[in-house]
Amino acid sequence: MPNKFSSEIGYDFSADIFTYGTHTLDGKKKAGLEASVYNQADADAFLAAFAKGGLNSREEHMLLAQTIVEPIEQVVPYVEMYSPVFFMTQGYGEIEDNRIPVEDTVAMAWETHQDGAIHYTRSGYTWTRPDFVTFDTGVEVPWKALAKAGWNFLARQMKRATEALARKRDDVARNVLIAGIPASHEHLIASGGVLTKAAVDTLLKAQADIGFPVSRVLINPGTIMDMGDFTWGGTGFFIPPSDAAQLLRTLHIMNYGGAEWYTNPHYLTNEVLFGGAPAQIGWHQTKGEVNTASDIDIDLGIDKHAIRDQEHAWYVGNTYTLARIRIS
Amino acid sequence: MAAKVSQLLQGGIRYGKDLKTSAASIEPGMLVTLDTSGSTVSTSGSTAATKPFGMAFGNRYKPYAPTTRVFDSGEPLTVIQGQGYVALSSDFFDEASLPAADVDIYGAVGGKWTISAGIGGTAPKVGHSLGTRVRHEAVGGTGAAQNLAVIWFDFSP
Repeated sequence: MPNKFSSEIGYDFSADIFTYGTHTLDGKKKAGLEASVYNQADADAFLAAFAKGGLNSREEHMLLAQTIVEPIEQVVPYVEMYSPVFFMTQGYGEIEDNRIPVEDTVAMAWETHQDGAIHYTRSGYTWTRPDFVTFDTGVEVPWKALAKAGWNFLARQMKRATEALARKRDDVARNVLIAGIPASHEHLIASGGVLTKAAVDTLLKAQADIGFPVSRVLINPGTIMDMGDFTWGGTGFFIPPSDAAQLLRTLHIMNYGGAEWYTNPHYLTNEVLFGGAPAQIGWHQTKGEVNTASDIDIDLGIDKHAIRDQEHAWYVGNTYTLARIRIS
Repeated sequence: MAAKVSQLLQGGIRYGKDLKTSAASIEPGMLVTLDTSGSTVSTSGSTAATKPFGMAFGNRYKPYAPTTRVFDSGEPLTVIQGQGYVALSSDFFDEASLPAADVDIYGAVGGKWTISAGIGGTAPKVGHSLGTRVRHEAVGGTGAAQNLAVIWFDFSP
C-alpha cells in the first residue's frame, strides 16, 4: 500500500521533475504541503519505508531516484530564441481565423485652387493568413530499464524531447525572419571571424536612418565578447567608468547602442541578428493547446508519453526593422 | 504597401447592378468590356469589338477577408463609366511605364491602358493623360516616392 505521504507526490511538467507537496501527479499546482495534517506516526512510517526499500508505487520509486546521482548534462538546454525576442504572440482557437490585415492605403495631397474639387483616394481591403505548422514528439520507457537504471532518465528524456520541439519551432521562426531581411539590410563583414564595432555602428546608424532604430539583438554569448576587443571611442571620447568596469568583467556592454542584447549559446557564431521591438516586426500565432498523453503497453512492458504541439505560424509584417551582420 | 495603385479621384458613374466578372483576372483599375450576356464583363481589348465598357472598381466582399484584390470568376463588381479622373501606377499600362502628359490614352489587350493608337489607329480611345503626380508608399522605413499617371478618362458608348 502506498504510504500516506505518497499522496503528496506530484509532477511539475514545466520543470520535468517529480515534486513533493507542490503539484499533483497530473501537473496541477497545489497550495503546498500542509504538514499539520500528518502526525509523527506518518513521518515515521514514511522514513521506515524508505529505509527498508519498501515503497512500492512507481511514483515513489521515481521520487526516490531523484536523489540518486544523475549523469552530468553534456549539452546546454535548448531555449527557444527567435519567437520570444522578435515576435508578438497571439493565440487562436481551433475554429478562429488567423487573418492579419495588410496595409493597403493610398494618400495623395494636392496644391489646389480654392474652387478646385477634392480628389479622393480610398484604402484597399486585403488580409493575409500565415500558414500553420505543428510538431510532435514521443518518449518510450521500458519498465525494466527504468527500474534498473537507478536514475530518472525519463525526466531527462522528456526534457530533451521538449528541447527538440523548441528547435523545430525555432527552425521555422528563423526561416521566416531571415527571409524577411531586406537585401540592403544584410551587412557582410570580412574581419577574421570576429564582430567589429565598426560593423555594429554602421548597422545601428543605417537602421536609425530609416526610422526603425535597433532595440533588440540576438547574439551568441561568445560573439558578444568580441566587444572586449573593440576600440572604444577616439579623440575626446572616454568610455564611462561604470561601462569600463562592466566591459572588463564581462567583455561586453549589455545595452550597447541602446538595444537589449539577448544571448543564446545555440545562436550562430558567424552572424548577429538585429530588430526593432516585436510590435514593429510581426506575429507568432498559435492555434490550440499543447496536448500531452501517456499510456502503458502491457504487452511490451513500456510507458509511452506523447506530446503534440500547438499549431504555429510566424509572420513578419515589417521587414525594414530587421537587419543582420554576417561575419566571415 | 500598395505598389499597384488605381485610384478613382473624381467623377465617373458607378455602375454595379447585376454585373459580375466572367473570369478570374480582373482587378480594380483594369479596363473591362461588356459581354453579350449583358451580365458579365471581361478584360477589354484593343479593337472596336472589345472596346472598354468602363474600368473595374470596388472592394471585394464575396470572400471573407480577401487576400487579393483580384476578383474571382463570377464575383460582383462595379464598373466606372462616363468621365472622370483616375490615378494609375505603371502596372496598368501596356508599356509598363507611365505616359507623358498631354497624350491620348487607348485600350490595350488584357484590360491594360496604352498610349498606342494601334495599327491604323484602330485602338479604342479611352482618355487623355494629364501628367504624373507623386505619392509615397510604405517601403524602406521612411517610404518611397511613387509616380502615378493622372488620366482624364471618357468611356463613352
